Formats: sequence, structure tokens, C-alpha cells
Amino acid sequence: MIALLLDALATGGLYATVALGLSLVAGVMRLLNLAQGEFLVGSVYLMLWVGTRFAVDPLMATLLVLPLIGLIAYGLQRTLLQDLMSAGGEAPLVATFGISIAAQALFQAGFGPAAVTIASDYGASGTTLWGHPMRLVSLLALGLGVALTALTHLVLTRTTFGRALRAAAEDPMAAQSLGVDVRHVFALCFALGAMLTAAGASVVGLGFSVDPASGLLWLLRAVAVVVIGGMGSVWGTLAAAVLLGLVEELGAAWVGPEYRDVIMFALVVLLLALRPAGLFGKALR
Amino acid sequence: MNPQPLNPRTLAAATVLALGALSSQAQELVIGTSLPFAGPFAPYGETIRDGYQLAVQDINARGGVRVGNTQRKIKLVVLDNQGDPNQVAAQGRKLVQSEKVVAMLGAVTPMFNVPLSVVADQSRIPLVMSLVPIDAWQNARKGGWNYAWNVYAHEPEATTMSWKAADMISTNKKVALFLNSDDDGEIWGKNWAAQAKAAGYEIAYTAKVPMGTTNWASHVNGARNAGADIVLGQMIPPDAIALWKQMKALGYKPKMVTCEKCGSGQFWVDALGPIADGTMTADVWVRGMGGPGAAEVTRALGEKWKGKQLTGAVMAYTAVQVLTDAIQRAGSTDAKAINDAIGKTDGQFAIGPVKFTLGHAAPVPSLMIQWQNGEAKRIVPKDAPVIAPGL
Repeated sequence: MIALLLDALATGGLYATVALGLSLVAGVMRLLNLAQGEFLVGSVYLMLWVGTRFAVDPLMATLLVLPLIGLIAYGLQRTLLQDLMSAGGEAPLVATFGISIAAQALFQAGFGPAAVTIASDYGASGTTLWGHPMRLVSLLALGLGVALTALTHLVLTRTTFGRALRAAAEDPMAAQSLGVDVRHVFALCFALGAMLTAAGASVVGLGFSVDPASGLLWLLRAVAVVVIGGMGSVWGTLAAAVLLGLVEELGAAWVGPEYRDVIMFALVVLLLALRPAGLFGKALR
Repeated sequence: MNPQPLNPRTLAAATVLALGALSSQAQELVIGTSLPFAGPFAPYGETIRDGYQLAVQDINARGGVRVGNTQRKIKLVVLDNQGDPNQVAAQGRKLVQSEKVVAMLGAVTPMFNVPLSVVADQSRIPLVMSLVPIDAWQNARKGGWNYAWNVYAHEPEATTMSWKAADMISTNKKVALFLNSDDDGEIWGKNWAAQAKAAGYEIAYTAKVPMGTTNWASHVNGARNAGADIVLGQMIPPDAIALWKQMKALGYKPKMVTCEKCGSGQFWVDALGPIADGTMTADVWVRGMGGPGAAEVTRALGEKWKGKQLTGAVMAYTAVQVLTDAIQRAGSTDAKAINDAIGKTDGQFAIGPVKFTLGHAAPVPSLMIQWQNGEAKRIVPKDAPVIAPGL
């Protein structure tokens, strides 16, 4: 049972790192970024490229890729999404879908169709925890999930940018009238979401693999986490990710792994019916 | 000397002849396919496309296909289904209705080949395919296919390669199966389970999981706790890459590992590096084997593709050869005549001899390859000694 719980925690940590960026953008900008999976996949490709080109450690490559992804996301938000957001919710949603499709084509042209992974000892090393063999990358995912959640919480609650972000999320017009540059704040939020995703992508790249079309797999899990946790709820995202990890691992062990997705999405539907705002959703906390 | 004015009759005759020549040149034989160029099967989509294009190019360079009294060039139409099996049937119908194909060529796995086969039967347009194990494809239609034909390995024989390879290694004869819950996983798993006892092996653990599985930890520990020295896998590459990394990270060191579908191409070695070493996979061809056209495929594509991906190109080349051979023997582009001629195929092609002896399937003898320092070596029948897994 301890082994199962440890696996569930590790899976939860992984899902938290992948979903945190989506949750932040959804909570602040009221935008479900359908290109979230492609930000993740693109980050892995960039890490691979940076790692090979500059012969640096994968974790160093991650640090180098983070600002790059942030810049790309900032640019996309300012040049494409910002103006569309004033036209209602559908236009930017469709735009992120378009970004997703275009990104997949770019990945395929640039990196080929095959699955790739970041070859490193981090992804193929393990340790023992209370007598249970664990992957290093699982522990990294769990640690990163908790650390990124705490960091995001601190940024949102203890910084000027965080206050501006929460003000813009609550009432963009009022925030604007108080001197908050809402456009800039939203773009920074989108960039921060992409950077959080890129941090999670390091775990995916090290422990698993990506191909040009694999973004959807991670987007679906991230959406499930955000729906369960509640849009914009930072700690809710972590709690939902762990809950999902638990349900997935216990469901696979007790009912059968072939029912993994059925169980996960049944939980999502059930929670949507009972608590449409998610377990911890309502406002940005 | 003043040129004589052209006789209107001569002019008319010349015009008719020129138009006739143009018309005969324009009457290309159109064949088409729908291939996955995105998703987990995209590497195979590219390989198969290369094989088809090379075969068409070679045949056209020799003047095309003789149909009755005319020599006709081939036009190949390749549609991209984006790795989405739901698009295949619509694309198959587009090939038939819009492109007016005389015949179709297949893709890979039951996932893509079964919808194409359905279109072939419904439209009564012949389809020649490969890279889909025979039972997984035949079982998809009770009563058998009518216009779809398959040249590839037969699972009950292909799965025996695992036991033949295992007999060459000292193990405790306990086996763990890692399977995707798709048609291939289902059938390979059943065959392995059915054959194990007679082969002297015991299935000690079975993990059957949906495609897209990322966390294998509980199954890796399950296989280890069951004491399995042998891992037999049938799954898509992304799942297998995660599994191999997790076996390594969790310290599980089986003495023999096979990975069908997943461990079959250069992408496997590129993704995993030394961890991929020692992975075995059943195949039907290696460099140096085969009949007419195999050397051309190796020469043209041998640098680009390795392992089973190069086999994929050879099988694709074979499919075009089988189809055009049938069209020539039919002497007509009539779908039924071509279909009947395909059924009577009995000749030497790039893969070797092809004859449809299992209903609409022509079984190709299996062999086992193993990745050794980045190269696919044949170990059954024995060309190279077996090495230990790099896990």
C-alpha cells in the first residue's frame, strides 16, 4: 500500500507541474489555453536542442529554456491573443487551438515525427524510499510540483506583480483605472504560465518522451486537474493533481489499468456535476 | 525549294495521332494511400511512403505498367491522415471517388489498415497492404476480406521467434508480458500465453495497459516481484520509451527484452541510446535478404532508415510490385479482374516469394533481430551472437 501511495504522490507531482501553468492562465485570463500541451512539447524539444548544441546538463538546459519560452509566450499573447480577448471568450480559445495545430506542424518539420526523450542519468536513475524503489525523476516531479506551487503562491500573494495580477483577474476595468497595465500583466501571466509548463516539461522530457502530437495527452490531464482543482486555485491544482494521481494509481491497481482514463474522466464529470467550480475554485487564491 | 503546303488530311491525321499520344500519356494509373505522418506511427508513415515512392519511380523509369496493349505510368497519391484512424475511411473514400484510383495501398497496423480494408470492400477497389500482422487484421472482419490483401508476418509464427531467442539465453524461464490493449497487444499476448507452456516457459506477470501509459512503476515492480527474467513487449514507442527508462531507474534487469512495434526502428536507438541495446524484435527481413527490388531499396533508403523501418520500406515496395504485377496479369484496370489476379499471385518480389495461402493473406517467414551497438542484427536464424540488454 505504501508503494502505491508513493507512486500516486509521484504521479500527482507530475500532473501538478504540468497543470499549474494552465490553471494560472485559466484563473487570471479566463482562457483555456489549448496550446498548453504544445508549450510542454516545444519546451522539451528546445531543451534537447540547447542540451545538444551547447553540451549542457539537462537541468541547465531547462534554466536556459525557461526565459526563452516566457518570451515566446509573452509575444504570442501581446501580438495575437490580447486583441482577440476583447472579442469574447471563443476567439482566443480558437486561436490557441490554431497555435496548437501550427506548433505541431513546426515540431514535425523541425524535429521529425518520432518520439524523443532527453537522454540523461536523471531519467534512468532510482533510489529506495521506505524500502520501495522509486525513480529519481518521480521524486523530482513531486518536489518540483510542491516547490512551483509554493513559489506561484508567493508570487501571487507577496509581490506587486501578484497583486496586480489578482486585481486584473478580479476586474480588469477597475484594475486598469487604478493604473494597472492589464495588457502587460496578462501577457506576463501567460508567460509565467508557459514557464511553469516548461519547468514541468523537464520532468516529462527526462522521464518519458514526446512527439509532435503528444501535447494532447498532457493537455487532457492538465485540464482534468484544473477542472477538479478549480480554475486559478494554485493549491487546489496541487491537491487535485495528487487526488488524480491517487485515483489513477488505485483505480489501475483495483479495477485495471485499461480503465485508467475512464476512471479519471468519470471523476471529472462527477465533480463538474457536483461542484462546477471545482473543489477549490471560485477566485484566485 | 518552296515548302509544300500541308495537306489538310495529313494535318488532321497528325493532330489525331498527337492527341492520342497525349491522351495515352495522360492516362496514368492512379493508386493511392492514406498514411500517418503525425502521432506514434508517423515514423512508419514516412518509411512506407518512401518505399511506395521508390517502387513507383522504379516502375515508371522502366516505362510503367503494361495494361493490355498499352504501357501506362503510375501516379501515386498519398494522403496524410495526421495519425488519426478516424480520418482513414474518409480519405479512402476520397481516393476512390475523387482521385479515381484503380487500387489502393495500405498503411500500418490494424488501426489504419482495417478502415482502409473496409473502404476497399465497400467500394470494391483492390487494396494491397503490409505491416499489419495477419490475425489482427483478419479477425477484424468475420467471413474475411474480399478486396483487401495483406503480405506480412503471421503472429503464431512471429511469436515463436521470442521462444527461439529465449532458448539461446540462460534464464529462469519466467516471462513478463507488457502489452498495449490494442488489437496487436491482444493477439500477441494471446499467442505468447498459449505457446509459453509448450515452449517450456511460464507467464509470471502480465501488464495490459492502454496506449499513452506513462507510469509503469507498479508493473515494473510486479514483473520483478514475479521473478521474470524475460520481458516480452508489444506496444507503441512512447509507452515503451517510458517503460525502458523506468525499468532502468527502478533497477529491474531482465536477461532478455523484446519490444514489438516499439523497438523496431532507428528512433528506438536514437531515443534511448545504450539502454536500447539488446532489445529484440521480430521482423521479416534484414539487409542482404529478399528478391528483386530489395537491393534497390537498401541502396536508396538504407542510409535513411534502419531496422524494421527499412523492412517497412521493403514491404511497401513489395506491395506496389504485387499490385502492378496483378494489373499486368489482369491486362485491364477492371477492379474485379485486378482483384482476381492479386489472389493468384505467385512470384518473387522484394521481400521474397509471395503467395496468398491464408485467405487474403500471404504469410512471410519471421526472424528475430536484436539492436547491437545501434545496428539491427539477425539472431534467429543466427547471424550474430545474442548480447545482454543494456538496462
